[in-house]
Amino acid sequence: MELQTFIIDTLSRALAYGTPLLLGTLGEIYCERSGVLNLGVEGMMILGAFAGFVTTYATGNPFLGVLAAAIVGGSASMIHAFFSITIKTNIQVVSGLAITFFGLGLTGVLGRGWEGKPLDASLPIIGSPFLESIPVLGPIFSGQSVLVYISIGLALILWFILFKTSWGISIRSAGEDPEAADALGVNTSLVRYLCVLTGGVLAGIGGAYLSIDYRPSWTQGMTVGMGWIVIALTIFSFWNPLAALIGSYLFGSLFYLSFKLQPYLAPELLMIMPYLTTILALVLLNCSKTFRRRLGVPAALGLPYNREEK
Amino acid sequence: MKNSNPILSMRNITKIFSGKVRANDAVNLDVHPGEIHALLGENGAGKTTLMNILSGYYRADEGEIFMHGKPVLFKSPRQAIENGIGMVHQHFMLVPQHTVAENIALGLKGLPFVFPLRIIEGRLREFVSKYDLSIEPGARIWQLSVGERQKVEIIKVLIRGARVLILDEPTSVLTPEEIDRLFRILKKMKAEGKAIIFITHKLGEVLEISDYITILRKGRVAASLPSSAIAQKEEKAKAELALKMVGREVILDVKKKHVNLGDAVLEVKDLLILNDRGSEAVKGISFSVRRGEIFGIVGVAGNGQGPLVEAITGHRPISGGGCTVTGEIGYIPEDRLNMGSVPDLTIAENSILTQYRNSCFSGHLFLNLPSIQEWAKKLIAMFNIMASGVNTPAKQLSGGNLQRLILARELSRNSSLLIAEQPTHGLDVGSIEYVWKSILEQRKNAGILLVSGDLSEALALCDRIGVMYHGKVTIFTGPFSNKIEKIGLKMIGM
Repeated sequence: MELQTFIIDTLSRALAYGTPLLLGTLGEIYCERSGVLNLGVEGMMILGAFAGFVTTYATGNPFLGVLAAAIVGGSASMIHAFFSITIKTNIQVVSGLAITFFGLGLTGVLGRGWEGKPLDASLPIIGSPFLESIPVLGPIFSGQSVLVYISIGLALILWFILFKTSWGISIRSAGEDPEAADALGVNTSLVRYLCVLTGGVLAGIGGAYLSIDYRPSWTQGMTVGMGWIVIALTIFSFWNPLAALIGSYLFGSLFYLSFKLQPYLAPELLMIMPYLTTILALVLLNCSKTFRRRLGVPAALGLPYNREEK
Repeated sequence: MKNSNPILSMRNITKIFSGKVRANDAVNLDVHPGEIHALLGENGAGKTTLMNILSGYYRADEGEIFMHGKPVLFKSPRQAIENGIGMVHQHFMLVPQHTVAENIALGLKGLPFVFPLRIIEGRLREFVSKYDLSIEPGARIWQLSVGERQKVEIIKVLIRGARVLILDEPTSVLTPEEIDRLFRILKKMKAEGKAIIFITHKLGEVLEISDYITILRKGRVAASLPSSAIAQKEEKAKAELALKMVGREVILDVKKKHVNLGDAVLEVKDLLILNDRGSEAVKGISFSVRRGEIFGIVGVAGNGQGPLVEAITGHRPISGGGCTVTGEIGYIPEDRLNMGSVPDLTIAENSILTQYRNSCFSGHLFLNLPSIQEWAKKLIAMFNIMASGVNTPAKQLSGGNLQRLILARELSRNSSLLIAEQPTHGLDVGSIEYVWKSILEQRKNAGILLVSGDLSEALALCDRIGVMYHGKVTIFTGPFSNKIEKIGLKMIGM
């Protein structure tokens, strides 16, 4: 019986902890599918977490907090989009990293007075009698935030758009071969801007989930490398929103287990994970062309598109 | 046909690149419905630039475009498409990872937002019956042959309601059989009243299919005349057109001076080479190249020529046998832009890539920039390279001029072995002649290994020819006039 509780607990926490990962990964998938590499996820998440917390604290309305996080995350992503798409210089990696460090630094400074303050308002918990009535696994769904369900719905919708609609064809083409898309009158810059914006908004909301819901408080650097895991998850899910669903919850359960199994396993091993997976991700991205193709890396990922150049 | 009003008129189109190079200079062009209009010219004559302006890629610096007599201004490819202008690019604009249907649906208006591909599959059936353009909608582009990819491109353009079709060198990548099929499709479209602009630098084709011919030379219109106005006799007609293109007489037969043979500079013995997948690409071949001779390697692409050259130049390990080179190798690679040059470096920098350690160009620590630029200027003058200056990036050179630059660099090194891989592929008549002359000249100092996909080139230049088939080689010694048939049969393995 104890094993069963343990498993249910793990799965329940996996769902909760995997949600910010899922939101971030869905955004990064759109960003990269359109051809833009965004290493600024961590920064956008922490900015979203801070903006979400402060707004909720001041207004008492958690939904306004989520909205503020979306706007702040989206704005930060527009800076990245401007450098990657409009300026067209090959500095996507630099501009993404800059936003990460900028976000961590800025929230560190601004957030000093906010540490330790409790948050009274929180996002509504959705009870679903139907899901909770599932035998054995039902308890997993009790007490989960509304954002958990929204993010699952988003994964399904974003998958459908990407693979079953005309927008999806434009997005994937912008990331595979922007020249071909441009030749057919697709505004590749606009497509890429919108996808980067999607990435920023979702990263911001992911951050807000952490500070409003998961741990309703503000701590400096509270995203603890989640943005890096997101970048790795994007690759491991092969740029597919449905696979991101599985990957995010897998990482979520790992995180919970590392606390539970502390007596037996060094928790530092897990602390290494974000950075280890990022290194692995970068190695994969820089592999030979044939390997990249087999992996399904969008062919124009990280490459700015410039029409007039010969 | 000439009674009808032109569907398209371009007036005084001028396009200047980098503030200097006049790619198009006051070009006029009229195209009528139901007409196949050939646009002829050497590499770098401005054909593609003109068509990129027409299809909304570039904006002209001067001039106007009229459709049905009304002025139009295309700010983007989309506007050109909406006005019924469709371009099939020389390098196909297809997303290789996507399916045929996805490529056709991309950016197409009037499709449902959800499940757009279902409509495409139905529309594809129309094209099968109308133009004989059959294609599997679910196939991925990378799985298709070049001819099939071209079909997808043509369908893409037609489905968007194009009335003016631009085909940029459509035959350069096709087999003779595929060319026949393409021409049948073009004739059907012509009968439907569509206007077709056919860009090419192959003279023979133009006479076969076109109604009207416009010849560009150095960005200007050199001649514009109905095909029927060209003399009936084919050889004479070709010569006349060639004259118009290059502005001088083209000598297609090569005069070879006698050169005394020296020692062997390349000795290949029982050479065994594996390809990337680990199977034998070259199966124990032997030959030698002596100073003063041109040894040709011919064959259908993919019979081991690539790995052979890679092994000799040290880009691929040898798995058995031996390969001895006396002295240095000068190498003119097939891939000019990526392997033969660094596109983003300047012409001057590219001109010393293979000899930058030479004491004339560098001291112990620093490059000697003035002498490098002086050297590049000398090469530009000697090899007639058309460039706006030695400090412009190599990527701005046209194909023919880039090849001249690489040729200049490699020939001036006085290496004992010169390896020339497809040295005239895709070049215009004038450049081909120049490259041939330079290679023949080089025999005085070096032995030459010429790898060519063009049999007539090998027959014209080589003293001996090795035909490669399935990793084996059969060697023929010139003169070849009575052996051409045998060589041809060897190429297909008979």
